[in-house]
Amino acid sequence: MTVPVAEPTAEPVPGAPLLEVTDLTTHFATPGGIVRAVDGVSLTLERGKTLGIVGESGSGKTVLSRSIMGLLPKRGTIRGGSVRFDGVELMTRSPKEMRDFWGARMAMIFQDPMTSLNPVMKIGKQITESIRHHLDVDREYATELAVNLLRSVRIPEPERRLRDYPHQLSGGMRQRVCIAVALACGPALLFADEPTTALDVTVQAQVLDLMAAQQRERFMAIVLITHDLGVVAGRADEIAVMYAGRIVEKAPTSVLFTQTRMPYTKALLSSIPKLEHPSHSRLATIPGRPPNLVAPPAGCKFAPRCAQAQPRCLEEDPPLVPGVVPGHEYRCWFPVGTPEGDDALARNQAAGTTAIAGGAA
Amino acid sequence: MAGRGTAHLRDPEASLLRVEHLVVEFPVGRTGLVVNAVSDVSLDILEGETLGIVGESGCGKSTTGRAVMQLPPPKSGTVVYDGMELTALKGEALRATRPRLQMIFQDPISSLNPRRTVRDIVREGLDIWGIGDKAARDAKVDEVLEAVGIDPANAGRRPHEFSGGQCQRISIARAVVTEPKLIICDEPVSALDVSVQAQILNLLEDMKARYGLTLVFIAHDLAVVKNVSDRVMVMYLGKVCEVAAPDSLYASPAHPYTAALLAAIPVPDPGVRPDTSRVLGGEIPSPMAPPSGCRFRTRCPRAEERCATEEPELRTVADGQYVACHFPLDPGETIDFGPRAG
Amino acid sequence: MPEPTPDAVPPVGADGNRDLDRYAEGSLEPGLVVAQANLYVSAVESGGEGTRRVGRGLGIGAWLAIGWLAFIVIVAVLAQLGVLPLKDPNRSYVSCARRGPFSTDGTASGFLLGCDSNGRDMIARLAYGSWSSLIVATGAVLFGLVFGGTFGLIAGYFGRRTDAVITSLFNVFLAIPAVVLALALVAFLAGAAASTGRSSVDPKLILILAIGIVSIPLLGRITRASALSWSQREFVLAARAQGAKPVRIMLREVLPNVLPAMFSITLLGIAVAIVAEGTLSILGVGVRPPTPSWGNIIGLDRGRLKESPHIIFLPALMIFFTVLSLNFLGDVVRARLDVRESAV
Repeated sequence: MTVPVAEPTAEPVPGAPLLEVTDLTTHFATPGGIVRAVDGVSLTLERGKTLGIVGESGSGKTVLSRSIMGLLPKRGTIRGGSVRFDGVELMTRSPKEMRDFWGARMAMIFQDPMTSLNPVMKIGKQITESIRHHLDVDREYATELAVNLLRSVRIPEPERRLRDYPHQLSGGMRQRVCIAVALACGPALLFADEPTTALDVTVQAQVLDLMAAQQRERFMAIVLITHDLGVVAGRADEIAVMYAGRIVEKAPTSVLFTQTRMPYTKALLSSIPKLEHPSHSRLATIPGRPPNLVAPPAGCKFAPRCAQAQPRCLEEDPPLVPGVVPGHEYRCWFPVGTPEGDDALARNQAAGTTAIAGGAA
Repeated sequence: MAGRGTAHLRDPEASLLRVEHLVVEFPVGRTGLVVNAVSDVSLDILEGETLGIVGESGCGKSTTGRAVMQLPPPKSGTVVYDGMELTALKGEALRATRPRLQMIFQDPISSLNPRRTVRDIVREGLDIWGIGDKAARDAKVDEVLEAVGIDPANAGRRPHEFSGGQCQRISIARAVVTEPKLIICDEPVSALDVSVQAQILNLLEDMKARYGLTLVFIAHDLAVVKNVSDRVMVMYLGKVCEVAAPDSLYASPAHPYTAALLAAIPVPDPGVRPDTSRVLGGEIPSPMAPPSGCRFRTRCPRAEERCATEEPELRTVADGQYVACHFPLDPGETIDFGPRAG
Repeated sequence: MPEPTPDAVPPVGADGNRDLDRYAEGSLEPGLVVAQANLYVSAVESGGEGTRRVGRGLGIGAWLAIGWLAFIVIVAVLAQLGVLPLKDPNRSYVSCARRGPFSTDGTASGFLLGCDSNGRDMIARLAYGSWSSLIVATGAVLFGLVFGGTFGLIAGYFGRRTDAVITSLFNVFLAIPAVVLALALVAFLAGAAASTGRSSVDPKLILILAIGIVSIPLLGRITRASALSWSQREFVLAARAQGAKPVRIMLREVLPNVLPAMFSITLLGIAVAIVAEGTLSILGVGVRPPTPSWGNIIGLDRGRLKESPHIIFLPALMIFFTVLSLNFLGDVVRARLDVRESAV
């Protein structure tokens, strides 16, 4: 099930990166076949850094985060590869052992705060429970900590809010409470799965600022999962773009935007409406839709929708290759911004078709 | 935002839709309280124009759109569409206007009946009004499906067999099939992936050209609204803040709330670092007890006593730019929300 | 650009994650929610195609239930048509009275399942009795469904005051003990039939009406709940925006979505009605003897449980297996309703 690993140890290994994921696969057995939701993902994250994971629905970004945390149900889930947290292998651990990590050392916040808060339990109890579970403290001290936490996530009148139920708070306030719950035990790693997608744009800015402030204060690493390149552009140190269960391009943030190599990343970027463009400007689109993860295409998974796809792309699966800048990797035979890529695009445009003869249309 | 007024309205003769002093209130249970969803909003649209209505949740943008459709009718105010005063019509007379005024919804899945075929869904408007014989109706359905990029050969399928983007295309087909002049699009792309969103936005522009449509485009995403609109109206807590052409609105927002909204948009450019000081703080007040005067004053760093006592009226600050604010921003001026952040 | 033709793909919108979360039962692990996302939904989220619509096998239980119900229905119909080689259910074989399996008087040769206290063949009575029992139960539920369904649909669609009035009526009816109400209705209806000179009215019809009326609020409330949630969907608003009249919207947009829930409750309802008919028969107001029904077979000989247990147990077993099958199938039907659609 996993690659050979050293004898599992609970002790952190000095010098190891905080999170080291190697060749992680997560497949689901369904009546329709094996769904390859995550298909060979490797990534590393250092303490205090932010990794943005960007992808559209069905790209596997949510499954990836849950698989790393070991939050998926055992039944029907096939996981492979290695996940090392602080040098400790997590893949071989039982959910019972994982409980020592969850909340205390790695925590997660979700898109819809309402689903992660218990609707019939007061805010205060939800926070103090977590604190008292992991830290051996009495009720008064836990309450005091909870008030401080709520204050640190900038919730006004924290003492009064402790006695509120989740439905009495606004969406933004609820997400702050979720962040407070997640931060309660000072985790070293925070997974934020579309934390602001359900929020209004001004509230989104408040929540993202809050997360950044907490990160600086606690030297915490964040995995920020989103569909919105705008959200990660200003916030992440490094961005991984996912498509069909794989990382198709990964780079330090500025490099990803300035030296985009993967056509999918480029297409995604150019399909976003930009404020600086005049109104009624035509948007670039990506034809077709993501592949079936039960029977993905043979070659490059993006080839059927790619403007510069060549016959080779349909046959051979491109590996993740390093770019010029350290830390930049991409999967493409004819990368954007290289002579090969420009050639391929020009050829397709001249022929008025792509490698699949306009099949996407 | 707070404001009201009609300074931004244009020649009633030339406008396809003219809404004046629209008020929508919802009772809250039996408490006697009301949610002031829309409070004295006026707007107009010229034929062929796209009016973008933008604002955050609770600003009343969707309620405004539905009140124009008389679904439900507003508490007060007038809605004049194509020479007919919808607010004065009832029963059959109002129903007779339905095919000329259509709507597209946010959730592409929820807005299509899962038990009916796509052909039945799209043909429904023609069936209701008995337009043409059966062959003519089917031909019309084929034509609009083709126009929105759905292969009519698949019209026998049900909505669950289509992706979200395709479902939204089917919704658009349903809206245009009775050849309305005006379509109200209520957050039509909010539930879609970025790449699909672009397809639908392009499609809306195509449909507008092909069928000579006038659009009301309601959304929370300013970049999206800017892309499709000829005129943008910013709303906050049931009031109009600012009305302007998109380019001037984005280049020089005059209302502090517009500036805050613009500053909050995450820009897909790592060169633009998020500016914490320009993030709007605080929470939107309860629509059951909105602040006196200007409704934005509780979160506005420029607010003075006058803002609490006197509600600002929409007035012009530049050619085609109207703002409801006692202390609007000058072009190029920025506003610092810093000290109040959080 | 047009997207490629659809090929039975579940709708995976940008809200895929929300769906996942919605289904993920959050058991609150301190500090975070352990998302026990069920894999089926995960597959949907991750774009797994065709998983939802793939036919799940019915399972042996459901097939056994279907088999039993089919058997009962066929026997009932054929017995009624007189094509089964059965003895006359009303003819007494005095020598065989009370004799049967486990009876203290011993078995009667030629009567596989024995006879009742009047010496009538149990097999024949059970077979003919199934017709009475099924026709009363099914008829009653269909009656309740037509009226309860209509009221429920109207209440759910219009909401507000209409809903308040109809729902309070339902509640008033529900507050009266069902058996008492049914007894009263039987008495009232029989009296009404007699006083209008129609004493020849089939007593089964009276039972159908009585049990049917009792079932109206139950079936109505379930229809109302389903209709209410469907009426709030945007496609209903879209139909109103197109100028469809309320009746058209109720019949074309709401009803087809409510029907699966109504079908599932129909099966459960028939099960309850069979038991109700039995109860009324035991109380002496059910199907009028000598016409047999499962209930009145028990009711007639309820004092002979000790010496001739077969007279009580055989019809009881018929009721037991039929009700069990219906309940089981009702659950299967409900579980097979589209997960996404019923989770609204």
